[in-house]
Amino acid sequence: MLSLKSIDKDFGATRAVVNVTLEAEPGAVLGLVGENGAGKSTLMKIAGGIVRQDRGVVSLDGEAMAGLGPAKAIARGVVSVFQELTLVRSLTVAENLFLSAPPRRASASIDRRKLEVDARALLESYNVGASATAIVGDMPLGQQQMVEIVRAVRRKPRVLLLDEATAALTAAEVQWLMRIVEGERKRGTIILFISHRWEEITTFCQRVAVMRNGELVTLADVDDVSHERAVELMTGARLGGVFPAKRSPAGSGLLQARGLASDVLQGVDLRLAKGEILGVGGLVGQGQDALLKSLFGDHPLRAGEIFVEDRPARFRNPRDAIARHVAYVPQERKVEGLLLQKSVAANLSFAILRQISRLAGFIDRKAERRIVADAIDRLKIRVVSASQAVGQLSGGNQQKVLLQKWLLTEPAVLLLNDVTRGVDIGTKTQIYAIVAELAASGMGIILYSTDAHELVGLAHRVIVMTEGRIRGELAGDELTAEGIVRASTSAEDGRAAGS
Amino acid sequence: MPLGLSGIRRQGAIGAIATFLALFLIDLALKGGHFSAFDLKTLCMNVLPLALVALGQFFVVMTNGIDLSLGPVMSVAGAVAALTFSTSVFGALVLALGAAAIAGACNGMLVVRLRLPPILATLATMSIFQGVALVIMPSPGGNVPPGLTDALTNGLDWAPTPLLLLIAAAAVASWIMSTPLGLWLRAIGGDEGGTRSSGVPVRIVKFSAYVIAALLAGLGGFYLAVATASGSPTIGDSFILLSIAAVVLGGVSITGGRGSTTGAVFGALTLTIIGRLLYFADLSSFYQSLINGVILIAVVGLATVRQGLAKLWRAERNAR
Repeated sequence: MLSLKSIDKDFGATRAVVNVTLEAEPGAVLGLVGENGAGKSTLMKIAGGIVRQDRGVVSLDGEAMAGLGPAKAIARGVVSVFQELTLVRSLTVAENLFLSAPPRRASASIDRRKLEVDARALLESYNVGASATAIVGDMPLGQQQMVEIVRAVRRKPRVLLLDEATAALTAAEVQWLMRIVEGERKRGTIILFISHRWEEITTFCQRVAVMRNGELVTLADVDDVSHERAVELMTGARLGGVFPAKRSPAGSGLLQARGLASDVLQGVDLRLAKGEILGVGGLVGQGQDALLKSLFGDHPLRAGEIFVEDRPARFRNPRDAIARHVAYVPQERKVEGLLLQKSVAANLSFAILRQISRLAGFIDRKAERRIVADAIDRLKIRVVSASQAVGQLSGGNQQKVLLQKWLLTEPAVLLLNDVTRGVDIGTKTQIYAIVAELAASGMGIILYSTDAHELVGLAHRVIVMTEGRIRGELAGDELTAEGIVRASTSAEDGRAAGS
Repeated sequence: MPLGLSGIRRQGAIGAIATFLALFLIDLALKGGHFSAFDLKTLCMNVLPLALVALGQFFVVMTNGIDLSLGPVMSVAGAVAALTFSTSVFGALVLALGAAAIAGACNGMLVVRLRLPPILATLATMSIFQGVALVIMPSPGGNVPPGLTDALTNGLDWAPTPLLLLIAAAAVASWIMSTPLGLWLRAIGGDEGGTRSSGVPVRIVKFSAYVIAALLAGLGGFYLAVATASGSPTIGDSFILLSIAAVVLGGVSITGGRGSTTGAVFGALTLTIIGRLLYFADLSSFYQSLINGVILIAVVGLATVRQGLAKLWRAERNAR
């Protein structure tokens, strides 16, 4: 039996897992469900001995396990399969399958013939059509995921942890995994299974644990929980008054896109009116990032047309997009958006250097100071002085600096890429108010968010994306958090229809 | 050979072999098609130290690292050997390699334990080892037994000792790459996080890469001291960048994961033959560094263009 008692885990100010106690037994697959950031993956990594909990006890058949690291966890029979593959893409399938202990000859050299023969036999025994000598990086994602799963189960684990292991699989491949999990379950393996797709939870699992904001809200038999009930439990009752009142958009068209296609996007059409907030939802990594970046000239398109105010606007680079008053606020502000060692002032004026440059490229420092002081005031950015380094600000204030930086370019179209992720609720409320105000002033805003409630609270319309396509559009009474979650996870609108 | 012909092609050594052969033919033509046993011997003598340190660099580059200190490790090892030949030849070799191993262990600890970026860690130790070499041997000198120099530089006509040593070193390096350690080095260069999650002891493997690299550089320094019949505290400095250039010329990916020991050896051979060509073309050796750079850009540029085309072609095929 795998037992977790009173587990707590914080990452900085974020409480990832809060006082979770649960047990998983052989013979019953335990499903873990919850929204993005609910703490499922962290809990699974703690259960697998890979992440060390701050408080609480993890034990497997009575032995304590904590922060073992991958090698020791595997040695204890605890094996994980994550959504992000851990196969080495530059190696062959065979090399990956036996990476930690390849067969050797007396000379200590790897016995390559035996390696390939063993790999082929292993792949055949699990009905995987991949070639043992293929380079992993050249294979389709689904096959890579299958190889990773085969590598996990071949170790005959005592505990098998599957974290969104089905995310890259086609419907037929999910059936394949189903048979493997069933076999492992009968063998007496303890199995934890994370998925965003409810129908997978009902077919793979006997028990289900629902998490919200790091807490375990329900632990029950799968048969006793309906999809509706699970969605309710996952989303919970929210605080009122966080979102500003919605005003109807001004109406006239601002941006149009037709047939956007790239290595990620599979033909996306959309339109945006002045003053409209268009929400983009769906599971993580379904092409939302690429969609926003493509509108900003930062994602190469194979085909498609974009118009801003009826003029062609398929930009080759962000510089062209900025010139046409399109602004993009990225998600990973530490990577894409801000120079952390530089001052607030320098960061704010970075995108408008051309406007405040005078003869021969000298910067008009007086104009810069005025604009920066205005901006800090308007957004209520909490700083000691404009010369303070951005890296010293809190996450929420960093995000406000980033937002303001782009507002200074006076955009007509504002693209927001999950900008409130990891931001506390107080700052979120302020950002929401700013976004609503900007829309009211006639700006068109496209808002991608992993938080369904944020989309419902702010957007006039929400499109839900799956695998690079728009799989649903919600507006009016249909626009609810449950509706968005269902559209992104249910089989009818989701993958099964497409494959 | 563990890789076989297709493996060598995949690992990018073909380009290095072709470049070497082309330059070698030019060299041959310039001298009227005459290639004597003496020519073979001098070529091997000239290439051996660079080949040894390039093989060392290969192991580090394989893990997506870089070792700027290998040149000075050669100086230290050569100086230690030159100062201790009076005890015994074997003692001098052991002491030289011991010093190199300690240097490699320092690099390994800095990268693995303190998690310093390899380029910074080895930039610092490069300077430190340069200092160590100067402290233990302020000016060139020391004592090398003449018999040893004779034994390690001459040998049979068409099988001179430096050629045998070169083949032996290449064989040992190739053998290491055929063991699980070699697979793990390649895996780390491909994806360190994934390799760790697969249960491979990543830190031990990376540490060994730096120790093996320093040992090979130590051997190179030892040979250099023997061949020149004296130690010199700055003799390794020119190998700092040459060792990296040789590895890259040999088709090894500078970000790790891809490449072969054969490639590294042929990279060293290419750089050496360029030096010979300049000598026979009556160009000042001052041009050598300039020409090395141009050839490096040409070879790496060609490889990059080829990879880019292959990628485009794959993308095209997948789109259909």
